[in-house]
Amino acid sequence: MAITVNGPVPDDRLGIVAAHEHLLYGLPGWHDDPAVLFDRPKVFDALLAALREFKAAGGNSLMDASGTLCGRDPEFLKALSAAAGINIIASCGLGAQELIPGYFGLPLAERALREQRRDGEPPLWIPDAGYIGGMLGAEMSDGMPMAGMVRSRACAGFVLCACSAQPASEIEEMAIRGAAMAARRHDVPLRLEGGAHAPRLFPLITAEGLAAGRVVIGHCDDARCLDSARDRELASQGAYVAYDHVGWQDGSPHAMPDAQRVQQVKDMVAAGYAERVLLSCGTVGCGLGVPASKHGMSHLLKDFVPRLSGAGVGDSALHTLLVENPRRLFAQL
Amino acid sequence: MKVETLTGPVAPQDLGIVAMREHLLLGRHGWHWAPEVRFDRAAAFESVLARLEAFKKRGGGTLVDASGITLGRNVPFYRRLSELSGVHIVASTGFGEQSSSIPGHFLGRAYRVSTDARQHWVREIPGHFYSSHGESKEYLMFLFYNELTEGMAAPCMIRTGIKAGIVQTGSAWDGVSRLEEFSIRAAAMAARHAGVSVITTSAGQARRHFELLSAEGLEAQRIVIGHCDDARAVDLDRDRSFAEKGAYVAYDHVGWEKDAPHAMADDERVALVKAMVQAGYA
Amino acid sequence: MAHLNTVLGTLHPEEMGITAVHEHILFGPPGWEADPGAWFKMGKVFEKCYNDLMDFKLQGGATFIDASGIGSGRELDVHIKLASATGLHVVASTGFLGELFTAPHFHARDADYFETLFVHELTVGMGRTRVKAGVINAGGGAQPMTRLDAAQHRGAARAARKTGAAVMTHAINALDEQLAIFREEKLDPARIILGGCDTRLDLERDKRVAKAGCYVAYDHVGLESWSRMAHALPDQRRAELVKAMLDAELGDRLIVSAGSSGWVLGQGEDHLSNVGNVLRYFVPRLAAAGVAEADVRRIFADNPKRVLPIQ
Repeated sequence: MAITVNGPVPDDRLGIVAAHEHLLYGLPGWHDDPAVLFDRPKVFDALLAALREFKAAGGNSLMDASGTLCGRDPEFLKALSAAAGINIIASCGLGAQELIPGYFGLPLAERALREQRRDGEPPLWIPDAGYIGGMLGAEMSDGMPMAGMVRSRACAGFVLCACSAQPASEIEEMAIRGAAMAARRHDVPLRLEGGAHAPRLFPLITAEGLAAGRVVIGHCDDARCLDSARDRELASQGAYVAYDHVGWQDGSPHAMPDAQRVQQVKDMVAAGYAERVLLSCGTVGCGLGVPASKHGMSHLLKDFVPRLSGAGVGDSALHTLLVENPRRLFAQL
Repeated sequence: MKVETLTGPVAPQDLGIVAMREHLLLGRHGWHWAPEVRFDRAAAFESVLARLEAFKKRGGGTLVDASGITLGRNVPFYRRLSELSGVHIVASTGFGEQSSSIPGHFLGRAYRVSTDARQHWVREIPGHFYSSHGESKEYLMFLFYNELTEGMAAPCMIRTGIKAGIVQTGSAWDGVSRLEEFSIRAAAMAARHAGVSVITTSAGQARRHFELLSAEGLEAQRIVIGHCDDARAVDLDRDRSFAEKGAYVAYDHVGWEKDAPHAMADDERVALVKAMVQAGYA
Repeated sequence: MAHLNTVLGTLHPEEMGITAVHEHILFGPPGWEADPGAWFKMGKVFEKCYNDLMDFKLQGGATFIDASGIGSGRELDVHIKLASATGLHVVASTGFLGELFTAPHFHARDADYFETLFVHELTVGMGRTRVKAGVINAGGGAQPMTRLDAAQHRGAARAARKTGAAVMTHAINALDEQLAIFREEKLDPARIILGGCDTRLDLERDKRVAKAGCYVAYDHVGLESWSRMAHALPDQRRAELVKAMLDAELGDRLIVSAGSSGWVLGQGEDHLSNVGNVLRYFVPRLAAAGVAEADVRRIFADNPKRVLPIQ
């Protein structure tokens, strides 16, 4: 069962799933910037068109990886999903260090001040991994928070976490463990974007009791840290390996030509790990203070899939990559 | 018997030279909702202060702001101007012409005022019950009376502790509407109970105003008939008859010599004043 | 013409009266709204803030500067409603209070960006509103100053020079670096309010910077030893600091405030200090310490009137 923004959908009805996209995306705080304009009806129109194109190309569902803080708008996603006839599975989670606002970090700074405090004074409340886990869990069981201190009825359907620091900063570790706790408690997938740190963080996540088959190691097609041995190792442990920046071919440090991704997929299929690979474009539909991506999410089905075919990846393998793997990610284990 | 000013009560003999009818800020009720109207408070303060200081320098002592409740009165603004310039400022309560100064709230069918919603500031006036009907002279009487005895109302439900010192009233040029009649009668009643005067506007109905005020028992010495130097209604006989009865006649648009329908050359005003003085009504 | 930008429009300096220079209505780091555990009933919090502000007004206060800055609890609709309902002049500020209080969107930015942003907020309006900010915050506290803190300070200094607004700092432990940046940007010391001089005590430092022209703010009145804050101090000590500065003939550079918050986002009521109490308890304390009434007037009315308005 997958929890979409418009309610649960049986995993065998998900069809072709784009496993990592961003419909709206902005850094926390974008709404305070007078230069960032969000023309809501206009953006809705544009995203609706993109979703319809995806549907016409054969797509049926997508996983929105904006997490709790990066521009997610639950009601907007609900309306978009209904209008386009595309299942949208939204995510909760805090992201990498540089995306976590001060509220979650301040108490940790306070902890440092604690040493200077006089004896006998009550300690400050400090959020820890358990608190984050509860907070994210509530997004999945009760609904995603919106602006104005209101909870939407739309629930998140998977959890995000990320690491950019080496070693993971105290906040990141707290966020990752909290994400893992929430994912286990609610039996949902977890996507980790950890680059080169992923192998080190994977056991941290499974230590919280989350099954490997619920873990997606994202952005394994990051040009800065390609590692086929890592991909195979994680796949052998039962996790999913995602090549989910298809179409990001230039203009960013992580970009690389799609031809290389084709090779990555071929290699994994050849090594017997077809059932462990997920694909997506990681597009930004509407950037809130960040640029939208040049390509759309349909690039996966209209451009990349034909390339894979052309490179010898058979229809059955393609079906596994696009339909079976996501289905299994959400299905009963 | 002291006069209530923005900075507190002042003995009449300390008022000095009094500008009897002025407007520090003036706007039709609702101006603040119009996007094209810009009120740069700081700039307005600076320019009005300069005028007050010039007035003081020339010998001025007191100024009466005749805007009533709704035509732009700003109590803290006026108070600070008075403190800084040294000019006493007397603010007014009351309404003038309906179309520009009486907002819709006061119009229309009678409504019940719930006693729970009523605030504690409503004072008792012997012989009168607080009216539950909006469109009545008693309701408006209490409105004005409270501004004279408890303090003037300010935006967003603030009752300042600063009292108005006079009641402004009036009507349209060519007639007195039902609500304007209540307003004029209420002005008289409030003034009578609070021991202050009433100053009228819009000389087109001057005689009627005087009638209504007197009908509610306001003595003539408490009545100032304003704008008797309105070019469209100059009437020395009328002015003399008011003066005869003991009321005051105001030639209060000195300097308005052109660009308005009521304007006329100051020389003509000089003539009116001379005529009144010569008739023994200085 | 010198004027203050309040949330209800401009104000002539002569209308300012007794001013609380460093306070907060709502205050907290960005991100709290994502945590339902930090949510609160707006009506109840509004009432609490209203009561705090009315208390200040009834004690004689007239103007209230909210130092929450961008993304740190600056809820303009609340400010506007409170200003209308109390009759106080409420001023909101632009600027940031350091890296922790700067949302990620504003992290990878340089001084030019911050200058443009602050100038926009002071001359056109805060965020997408047409309500103008009245003062620029610069905070931080990390030592050494981070790249972001420095860029924000630089942007603040440039915006201050361009618009004539004052800069209020909140990180006395980075003072030397702050002043170095302000000097490089040729910001007039008399446009600078150094907040937090009562969080890390150094009377010689206070005298030195005051002599150079900066304003010295003892702006944590009420944060006494029973608090949780590492920089708590008995108010008696603050009164002594004020007296010492007056004795050194630096009274023209003194600012006193509570640094209180009506509501701390993510924490709740701020029991540590209260804006009305500055007038209720601290002013008598100053009198008892031998501070003349004229000096009290100078600190709470004349000095703010001189430094805060946009020149």
